[in-house]
Amino acid sequence: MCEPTTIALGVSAALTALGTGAQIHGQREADTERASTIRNAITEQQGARDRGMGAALSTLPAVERPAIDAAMDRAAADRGADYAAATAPQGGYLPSQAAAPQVVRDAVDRGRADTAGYLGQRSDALGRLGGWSDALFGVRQGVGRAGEGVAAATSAGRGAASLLPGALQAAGGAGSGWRLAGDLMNMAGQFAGAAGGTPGGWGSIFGSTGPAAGMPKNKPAAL
Amino acid sequence: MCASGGASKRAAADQRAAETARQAQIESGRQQVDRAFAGFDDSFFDGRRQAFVDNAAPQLDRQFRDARENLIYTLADAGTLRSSVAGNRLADLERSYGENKLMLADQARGYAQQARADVEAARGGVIQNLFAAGDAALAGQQATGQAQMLAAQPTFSPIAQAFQNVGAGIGAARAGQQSAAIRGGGQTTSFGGGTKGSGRVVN
Repeated sequence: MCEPTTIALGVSAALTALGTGAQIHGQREADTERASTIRNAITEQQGARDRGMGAALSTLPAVERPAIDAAMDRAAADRGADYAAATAPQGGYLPSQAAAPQVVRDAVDRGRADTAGYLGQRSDALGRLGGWSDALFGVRQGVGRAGEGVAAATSAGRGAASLLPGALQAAGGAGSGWRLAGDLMNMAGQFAGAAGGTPGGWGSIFGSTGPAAGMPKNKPAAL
Repeated sequence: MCASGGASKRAAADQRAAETARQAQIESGRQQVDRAFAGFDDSFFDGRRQAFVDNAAPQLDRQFRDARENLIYTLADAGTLRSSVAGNRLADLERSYGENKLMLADQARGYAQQARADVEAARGGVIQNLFAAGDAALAGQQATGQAQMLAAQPTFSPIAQAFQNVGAGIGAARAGQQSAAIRGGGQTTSFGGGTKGSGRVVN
């Protein structure tokens, strides 16, 4: 037969060991959950970053030099045709000029030819100038639209990141049952150890035997 | 401890749900904005350009007709209608007319381009608000309002006077001819000589 003190100490040690094990298990569960939360957060951030990058890269072909040159050429040709149509040369002569000497009609025709050449040059120049502006506007518009995609991805990433503290806190709650059980077992172990170490043993704790040495009786005789 | 852990989980789940809802709002808002601005395509802006031309071109044509008539009257009054000077003046007028038409076409393009920029700026503003507030309904409302405002029929101002001093100098030459004739019945030296018609002075 073992002494009660020995049993108490054994129970105390066992409870403490079990309690510590339960706490470690609970802590591991919490750590695992936190790690999983962080991994998920990183995945979300990577996803948002990839979406943003995809949106940004989608405009890349349009902002490369050959594409811009081609867009400028198209826009310049479009404007040039518009301007040329708007400045079609005039015809006919002033009253009585039709019957005037040829030299008079030649002067009109020569003036018109000069005007046509001059307006043709200006149409081309303005077309190129405007085409440059049109093409760059198109590029800016494309970049702006892509920027919306980037902003949406950034917003999603920021939103997901804002969830992390709360998610980590919640993850820290994982294994709380084990930790509580561990705490209780540790307390019980300490209690058992403390009780086993008293002269009255466990019984003195529950009041079924006499008081431990040096302790007052339950009911002093004077009372 | 359990209660606190449960509360944390619930709070995290609520936050996650709120964030998911916010992202859904943003996506829905973007779609609403796209729908509201869908009408602003190339044909819309070409319509704006054409509207500018349709407003300004008749005014310019009218001014040209008036200027041409004034030129005819002035030349006829000076007796130089059949002269090379008349031909040059007509060519000058037509050149000015062509330049003005070119400028008008360019302004119409610029007007359409400005309309594009306005639409893009309005759209960008609505999208920016959407990202800030995360309210799809508000974004849809703003987008519809902006789109209606931008699509409203524009008002144009009358164009400025395009042809001025068309007959300048012709009357003075005629006055010079008359003065010379009064002084001594001398020979006219410019614009080919009064009643005999033009053709001697060719520039």
